[in-house]
Amino acid sequence: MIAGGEKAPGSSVMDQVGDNIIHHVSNSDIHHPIVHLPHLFGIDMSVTKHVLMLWIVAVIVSAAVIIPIRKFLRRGDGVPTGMANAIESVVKFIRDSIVEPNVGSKWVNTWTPLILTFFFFILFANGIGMVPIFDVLGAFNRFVLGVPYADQDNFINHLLHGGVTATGNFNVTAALATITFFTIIVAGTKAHGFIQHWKNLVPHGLAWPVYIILIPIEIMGLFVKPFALTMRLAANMTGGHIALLALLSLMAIFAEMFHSAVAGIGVAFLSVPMAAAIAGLEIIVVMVQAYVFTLLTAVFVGMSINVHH
Amino acid sequence: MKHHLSRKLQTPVLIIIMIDDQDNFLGKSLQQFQRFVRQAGPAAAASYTLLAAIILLGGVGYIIDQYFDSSPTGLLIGLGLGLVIGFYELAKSVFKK
Repeated sequence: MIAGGEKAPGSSVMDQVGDNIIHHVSNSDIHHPIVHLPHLFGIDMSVTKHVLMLWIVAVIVSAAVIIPIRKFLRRGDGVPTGMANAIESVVKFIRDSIVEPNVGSKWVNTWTPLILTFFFFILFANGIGMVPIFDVLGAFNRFVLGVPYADQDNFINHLLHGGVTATGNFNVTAALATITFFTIIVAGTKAHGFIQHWKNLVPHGLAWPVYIILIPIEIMGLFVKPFALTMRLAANMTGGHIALLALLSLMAIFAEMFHSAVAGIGVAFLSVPMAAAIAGLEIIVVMVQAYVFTLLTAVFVGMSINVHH
Repeated sequence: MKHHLSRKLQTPVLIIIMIDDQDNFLGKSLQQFQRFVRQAGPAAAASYTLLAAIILLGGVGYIIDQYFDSSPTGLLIGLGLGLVIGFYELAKSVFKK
């Protein structure tokens, strides 16, 4: 935020703080992307900051999971060590404590890979948002390389628009929830057949007027589940960063309000420890949100497999 | 002297027992945690669905109001529908057989 700050002439800190925070947590403008790409089927395929983060996360997840597992399999002694050991404990926890109790032992091996992919991807995407990569790059660019912020042709200056938590973007979480939505349908269809899956939406043996009310409710309920996943993850990841930045902004606000740097420094003794505490809380949130998304997906998939009315 | 020796001998045994107890404590705690995780799943799903239904349907109602200039009818109907759907999903998890 500091490295990316742009002071418009004549505007006060109070005027800029809100915009700065929103710039930090939101995606970069599609009209000023990091990498220009042509339109495909009418969609602008240019790479914005959150898209870049998604790529980085995909590469990191693949490297952090595939390489240790390939090494472990190549060794062939059946005893995992180091990273493979850590991955095994996570895989075992998710399979035995989250997936199996919800989807049942018959389907556990079918749906564990997908749910694990969700877990690792969300965990890494949330976690990377806590690493101030672009802020450090921005500070380096400005104070070491001496590139002014106004230089919009500079690659690093392009990166400074927006935050780095891709899961704080509603489009990303909506895409993940869409996968869950179709997974629920596929899981029900695989377990009961296509027709029976849709029949299972409502309880059997009720008077027909009840179905007039129940069927629309159940259909709307189908869309509510992925919406719950979308909102919860994105809102939690965005909210924490906004709280963090708002606390840090107090220094600039107080310095301007009292026309004194001492006021800003004085507030720093309160706002910086509070921001550090929130950052600590955010580390827990990073893990909890990945876990909750995984748990809810397992529960929703389980509900379509083990139908109880 | 004998008493002193026996105390000396007992000390490592006690430490081992303490470590063993601690391991049991950690193991039991983790087992309890896993049990809570299993039980919390449906409750978390129901509570999030209740909240999401009200927000989603309320939002749809609000957008309809903006489009047809019918404020606040759409919003109220949306919120009402959201409550019905949310509580229906909650009831499904509470009264599950």
